[in-house]
Amino acid sequence: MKPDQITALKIEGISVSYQEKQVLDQLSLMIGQNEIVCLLGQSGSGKTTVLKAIAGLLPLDEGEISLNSRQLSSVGQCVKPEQRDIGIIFQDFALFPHLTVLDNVCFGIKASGEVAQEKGKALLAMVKMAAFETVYPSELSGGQQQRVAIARALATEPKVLLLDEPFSNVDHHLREQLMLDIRAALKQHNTPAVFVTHSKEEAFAFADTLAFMEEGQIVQQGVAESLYFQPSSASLADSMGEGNWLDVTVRGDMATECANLGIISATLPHNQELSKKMRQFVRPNQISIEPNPQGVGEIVEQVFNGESRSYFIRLGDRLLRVSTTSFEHWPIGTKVNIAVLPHQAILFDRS
Amino acid sequence: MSNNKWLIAAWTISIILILPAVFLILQSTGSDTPLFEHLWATVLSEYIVNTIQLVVLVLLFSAFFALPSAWLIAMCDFPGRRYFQWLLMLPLAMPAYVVAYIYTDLFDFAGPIQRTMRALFQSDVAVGQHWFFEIRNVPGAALMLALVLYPYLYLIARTAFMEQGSHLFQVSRSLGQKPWQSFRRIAMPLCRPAIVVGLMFIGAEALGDFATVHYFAVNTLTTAVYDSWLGHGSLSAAAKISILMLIGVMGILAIERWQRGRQRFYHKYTGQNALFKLTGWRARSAVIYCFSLVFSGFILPVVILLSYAIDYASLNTDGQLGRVLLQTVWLALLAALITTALAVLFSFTTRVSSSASGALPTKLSSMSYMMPSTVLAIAVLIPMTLFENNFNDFWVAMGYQAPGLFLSGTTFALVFAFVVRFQAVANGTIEASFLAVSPSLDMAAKSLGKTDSQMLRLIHLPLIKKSVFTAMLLVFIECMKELPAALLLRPFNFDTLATFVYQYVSDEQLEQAAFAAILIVLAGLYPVMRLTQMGEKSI
Repeated sequence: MKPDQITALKIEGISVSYQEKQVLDQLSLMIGQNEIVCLLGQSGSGKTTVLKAIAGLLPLDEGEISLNSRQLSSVGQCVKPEQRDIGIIFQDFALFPHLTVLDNVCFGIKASGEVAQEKGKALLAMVKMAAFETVYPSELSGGQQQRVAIARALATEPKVLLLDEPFSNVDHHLREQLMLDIRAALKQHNTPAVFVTHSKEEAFAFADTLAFMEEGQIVQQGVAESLYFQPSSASLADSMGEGNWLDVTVRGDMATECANLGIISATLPHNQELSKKMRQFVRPNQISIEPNPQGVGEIVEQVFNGESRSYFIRLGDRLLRVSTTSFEHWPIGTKVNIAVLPHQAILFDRS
Repeated sequence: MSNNKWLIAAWTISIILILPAVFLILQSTGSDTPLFEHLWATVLSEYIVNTIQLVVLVLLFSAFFALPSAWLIAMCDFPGRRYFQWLLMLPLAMPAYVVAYIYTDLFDFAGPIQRTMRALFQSDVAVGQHWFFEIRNVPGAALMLALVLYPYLYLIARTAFMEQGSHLFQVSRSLGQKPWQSFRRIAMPLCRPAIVVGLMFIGAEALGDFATVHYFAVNTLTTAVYDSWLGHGSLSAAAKISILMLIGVMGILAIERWQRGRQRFYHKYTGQNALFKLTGWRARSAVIYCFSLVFSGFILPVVILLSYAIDYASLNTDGQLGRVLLQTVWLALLAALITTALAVLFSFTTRVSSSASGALPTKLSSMSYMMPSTVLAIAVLIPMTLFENNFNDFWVAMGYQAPGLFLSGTTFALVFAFVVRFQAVANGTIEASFLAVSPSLDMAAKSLGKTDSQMLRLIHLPLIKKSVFTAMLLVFIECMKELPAALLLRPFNFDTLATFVYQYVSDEQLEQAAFAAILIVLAGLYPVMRLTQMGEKSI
């Protein structure tokens, strides 16, 4: 959430247990007006439980949740789901199979038949589903069902929208367009949203800010770049994308040293004490290679990815993963020089 | 090798098994007999009204028992839910006539309830002088039947509620609908087809019930069939009344098929349901509701049966029960063996035959299952007596002594009726197990030079032997419990476990056959357990 934003949803120190097991542990999260926040994390980290707590489907053991300054949940008190003004979209879309697309969208609208129908039709037009009004959900594709589910949820003008793995049942090639369309719809309605996923690509494409969860707590919250370039934990660094873990020694405020690779320069001071043994996380695109018959590394495998190419380089007794543009193509067995490009260092203690 | 011999065998046998139904229809289209005309003019309309009343009331009571309990188990969490989930199925193992006997005994003028009430209110009155509700009437019979039949609806409705998943309900609430509105607008419309299917199943059972209504002296179409044949010896009148029942069953099945077809459009939710946690008085009411069903449909009758058995243990020592048991086991085993062997023949023929008609013998032989067993017994008698009469005439014409009722008067009729009735049970089990065997195994066997018979013996039978055993056990138990057909077809002085118990029920002496009744209940637990497991798997 940006500093100047007005808070819409406020989650303060909530703990939730389910079947005798603590799932959320004093978790706090603020969501601004018009903001789309993504909860990211491994399965079992408690992401979906946060949504259920916000929706009022689970009681709190500790803490409180409020929406636009109205208290929704606290210990022993819980506003009913139907009185919360919160929309939910599930992974399986949960469209009512016995109602047509239009009836699904109009289901929650509190207005007379004709007014409701007009509103429903307008929403369907917005999600590009106007042509399917009289169709039943079972006749729609996953992406189409998702569009209807969004229209239905927005129809009651919720103060916040919750989305649980909304894109995992949608064909891969439709996903990007769908994400852009839904994002546009949310922004158009000024509806803040919390969405849950385990895919970082979805998180990057769909959310304004990301919150990474581990063991029932939020480890780090911020824009995608900050989580990617300055991860606060090793597991967050790993789940943001591939990388190489190097054993290094701190050689200065902006330098570390790695055996076989030499000095690695940083672009910002890392404030670590001199000579400390640490682990450094280096992304594949932060390493460059160049063929050289006297080079320290040797290409042992290469994978063509379309936009880029991955090389696996043997350096001493370990493998380095390096990513280059796809135009360069060197055969397996080529000796190479390796250089780590100056970047903001990601350092963790060795333990 | 040609698979013609399998086809010929399967077709011949399945046609023999469908003969009773064909003869029943032919017989009923014949001219009216005096007895039927008399019945039609006098009491039959009353019997029809009673039958309809009975079926409707059984459906209402069953819905009242089954739907709330199914909803509670599917959607809510309350103490004991995990146990009630299967405990609620147990009443299905109780024969309705045994339950009817026990409650009559309890609520009778001389029964413990009325005795206690008289003692409490210190009234000292003779029979008929103070009002107490009557149980031996149509509503009473319907209540008894519903008490043991509701589990069918409970199981199917519970599955349907669970398959809906909790997401639809949660979405509906997030769209501003209160729980009750969500139930009415979402849960009920989605489950309606399943509920109708369950109700129709119960309706067919209620329509075919003989023992409970006979014991309560309520006249319905089944008792009319029974009396026409055993009382008046008119097979033709019995056949005509049977056809009326068959029309009722057909109507019920048509509704069932139609609603079953409608379910296809609905998706099945496979995730885990979030249960609605009940606390306080809500949790207590849920427990009381479920427990009273299990208690009155199973626990109380079993306890009373046990106490009868202990009190009258000395009366059961004359070896009569042993003889009956031996006869029953022999008979049921024979029927189970034949039925299962035929089921293997039919399913195997379906598998090896290249044409679509290869599947017909299985379907044809399963059809008689929809006949109520009273009707089936009459239907079996028609071709049999016809054959016997002609054969006797022929034999006498040849100068020999007539052999008499060598089919209908012997256990042959009983075994044949059991095979016709329960062929569908065996077919279902065996067919499913054949489907689980990959067709590529057949091709592998063929490519290695095996004939059809070798393939059956070396590949299929070893792979399906567990299902063969299950099919035999299921048919065995059904034969042991089967009552109306056994009553109508048993040879003179021959009893099965069910007729033995029922004889004592109708003589108001169940106490003396309590042990046999317990055996029937115990045997009935196995199919109930299987049904419960299948219900759990489909979720």
